[in-house]
Amino acid sequence: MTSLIRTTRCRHPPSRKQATSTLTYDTLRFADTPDFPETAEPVWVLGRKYSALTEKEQLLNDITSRLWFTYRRNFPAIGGTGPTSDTGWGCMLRCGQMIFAQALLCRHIGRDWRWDKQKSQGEYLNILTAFLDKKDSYYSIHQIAQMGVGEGKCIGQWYGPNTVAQVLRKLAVFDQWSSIAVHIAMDNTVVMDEIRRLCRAGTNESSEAGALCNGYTGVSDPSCSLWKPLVLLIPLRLGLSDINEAYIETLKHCFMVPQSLGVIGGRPNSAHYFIGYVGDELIYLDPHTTQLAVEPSDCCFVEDESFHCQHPPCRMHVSEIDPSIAVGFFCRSQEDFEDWCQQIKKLSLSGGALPMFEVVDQLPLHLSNPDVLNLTPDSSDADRLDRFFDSEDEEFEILSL
Amino acid sequence: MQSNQKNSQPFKQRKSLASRKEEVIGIKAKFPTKIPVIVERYRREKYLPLLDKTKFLVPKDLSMMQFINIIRNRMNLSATQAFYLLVNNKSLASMSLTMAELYRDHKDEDGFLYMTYASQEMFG
Amino acid sequence: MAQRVGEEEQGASGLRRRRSGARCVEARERDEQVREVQEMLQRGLSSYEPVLSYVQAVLVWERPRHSALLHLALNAAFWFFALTSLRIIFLVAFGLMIIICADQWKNKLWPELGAARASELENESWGYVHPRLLSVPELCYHAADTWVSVYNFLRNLLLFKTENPGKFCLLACSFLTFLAVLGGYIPGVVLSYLLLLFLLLWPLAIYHQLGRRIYQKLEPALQRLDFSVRGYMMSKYKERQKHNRALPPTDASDSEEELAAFCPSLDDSAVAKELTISDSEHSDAEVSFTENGTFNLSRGQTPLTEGSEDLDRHSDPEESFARDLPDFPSINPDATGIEDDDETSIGIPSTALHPQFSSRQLYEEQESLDAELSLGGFPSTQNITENIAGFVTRGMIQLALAGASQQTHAYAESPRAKQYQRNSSSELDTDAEADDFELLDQSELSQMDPSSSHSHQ
Repeated sequence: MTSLIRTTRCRHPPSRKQATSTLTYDTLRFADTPDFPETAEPVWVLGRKYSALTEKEQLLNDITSRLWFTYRRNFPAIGGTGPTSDTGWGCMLRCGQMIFAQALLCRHIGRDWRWDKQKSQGEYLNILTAFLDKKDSYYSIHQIAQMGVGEGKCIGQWYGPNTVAQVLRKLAVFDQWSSIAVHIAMDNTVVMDEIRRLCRAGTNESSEAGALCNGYTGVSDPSCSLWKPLVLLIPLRLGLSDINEAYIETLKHCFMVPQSLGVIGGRPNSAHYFIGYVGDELIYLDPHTTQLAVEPSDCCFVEDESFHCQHPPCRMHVSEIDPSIAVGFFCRSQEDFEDWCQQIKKLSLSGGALPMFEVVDQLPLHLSNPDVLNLTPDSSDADRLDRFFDSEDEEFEILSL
Repeated sequence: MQSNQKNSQPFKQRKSLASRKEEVIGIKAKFPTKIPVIVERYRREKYLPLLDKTKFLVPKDLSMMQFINIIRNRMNLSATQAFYLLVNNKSLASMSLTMAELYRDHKDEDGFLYMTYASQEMFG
Repeated sequence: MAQRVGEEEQGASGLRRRRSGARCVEARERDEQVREVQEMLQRGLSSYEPVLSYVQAVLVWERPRHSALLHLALNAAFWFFALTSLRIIFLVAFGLMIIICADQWKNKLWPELGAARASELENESWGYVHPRLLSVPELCYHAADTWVSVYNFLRNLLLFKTENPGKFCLLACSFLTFLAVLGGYIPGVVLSYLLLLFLLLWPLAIYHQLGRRIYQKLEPALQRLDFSVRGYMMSKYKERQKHNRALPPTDASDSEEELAAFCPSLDDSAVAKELTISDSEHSDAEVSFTENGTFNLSRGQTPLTEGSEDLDRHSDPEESFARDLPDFPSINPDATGIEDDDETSIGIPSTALHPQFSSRQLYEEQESLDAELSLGGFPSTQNITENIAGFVTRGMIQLALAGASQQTHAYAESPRAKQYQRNSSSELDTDAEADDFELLDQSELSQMDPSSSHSHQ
């Protein structure tokens, strides 16, 4: 029964009607996006606090500096013959890209980096290149869509927050440049022991990782050699059809933690990347605008203006959010991670709000699941790994009978 | 498919309050150390399969984590598949709670403990 | 459903894509089959859940008294049958007598049991949750999975038999020889007793997760060998470099390469130094981050020109393998005039591979049965079986080379075999191996006449 639904969905991925409707909706909305409210309430954006009255400039600059990925068209066909546009189906994939780009920004150039239109170079360009719409970028829509096949999603099918998180976890393994550990806490439980093991897993490459850290940040951080930077994603469901009111305060609190990467989720059927809140409104970046794909030019320059949201960010009331979300955090070092654990535990002890997830030390032996930590690629992943290595897929296309 | 039709209505609507109460009393007399739990699929769930049973007898000292794992195994889900068990259609239960604690806090007036399972919504 | 997926796959052209598509369809078909069998089993077994969980509890010593009784009874029965001087007819007749009596007794007592049954029927709809034992759907799933695996294995074996009678004969003979040697040295009673003990203790081992406990003890030792993805990627890189250098792959270099890939920590500091330097030097973002590892590694080991070829990523392991193929020493069948000799000479690697395939399949079954068994120890055991199989087949080939040529001659009446004889040796090679490797060789495609390509699909 379920598989039948799945395949029928597969067969008709983006209905044209839907695509056009989102387009008009977009153009309408951007025209009358209200300016930021002049409110005394603090604005929280990814762990930073701003005052809408006095620090508006900095606030908007911070939001503009986030990488903003939207629907694109005219990119190289996915898988050689697949779709060349992701309008109508790629929004959760784009949100996944956004939260992961934020993680990479934190990893390589830090949370305090700000975008400068005139001089965009160095690590920032490397990060942006990893998300460009071509098949051999680490986290391109091509890679995400094709890796999604292993998660039972055809190309062009809609993703959920967990799906995209799982796919990103698999893709991050190939990204030696960043050498980050990605952990997805299933069953709304964060097991500290699993994370410690995961982050220390690459100890024999520790010196290399340390060198990377030192090379990129210019700071010699002793914990860096023993601990891979961690991206923690927690897929959740905070209610059946609507979010349970009891979770709203905890959800807001997620944007106040300094390690915050924001939340991927959305309203029913359309995904957003939530980066902060003010009062009872969530601030989000919306991927539902179709832009032309950007061709990377040779001389280390990318036309990057379309990757930053330069109009005031969209806002929506927190109770409108769809209950299916994934919360993200980035912990640079072990101390950072322990600090995060303390914060979350403190929050759950404070009472009042209902905790969305739990932090535990470890699981009993018979319950710890090897699959969660499994780093060895299974056969399908190895297949994709092959594809990753011989990125010249066209050579095979020519051979078709 | 048969079970699909049978289970189209939630358990609460299929039986009257009196008969449910009676059932709880009967099963508790027979298995005093077990807790009667109703596990149903969210009606708009499209990705998770139906369970073969809706009524479960669960040992009191079983933790929520174990119970979720058992249900996951029953449906043959992989560890990376999203699966959420919401108590009383509302909240996620803490994984470290035992079933007895959960029952104490969330049992229905008829004596059953109601849970609904769902995966995540998809976005386009 | 599979057809729908197939249609979808047709949109994507290209051999490679089609190959992965076919694999996808195959996997889905298999899932379908498993689901069907599982549903069938579940329908039959769902009312026996209490009985099944009781049996499991006894097998894993959750009820020690019952388990001890079971073990005693089975041991007694076994040794009674092993040591008794009674004749087989007597035993069969006696057994039948007991069965008939039990049946009568049960039927007579039916009315009295009926009342108890009625109350049990009410409980039928209850699912019994036990923290450690398998539920009926799980049991059914595992049983169905095993059933489908065994079925597919047998089907593949039959296919293999019709397609490669010579190889099949060798394989079967070597396996049976192994059994014969085993049977010759160890008495049957001991073997069957061991089997019984294994069957009785196996659930216990799974229940207590012996596999994982042993693995946890061995983990520190295993961690020194790098089985991680990174190790795999490193070995991939090195493999490509090796192919690019166009060296004939010898056993020694192979193992050396593998070892080097497993211990990258040796020159870590040097690599790290190079990495930091290159990062400051190359502002060219893309090259420095996508190709960093290759670039620096290749600079350390090979001349820059070859490294740059590597950078282009135009090469592919399979492609370069195909390129190196003519370098392999091979016997030209037309020159020697013995077709079958050629088949056996090519058959050596593939017969060594087939047992590996089947054994992997078996392992997968076993793994699904005890999900606790970790993957860590997996490659080594597989290697052992592979080695053993390779060793046995090689020995057998030396023994049976003369006989085999005549045997395969006798089998070679099928049209398919005739086709092989017509074709050139290289094509025979790729055609025979196609099921396993699916070599994408241009020459293969151009030479393959339409009839054979049709028969292939």
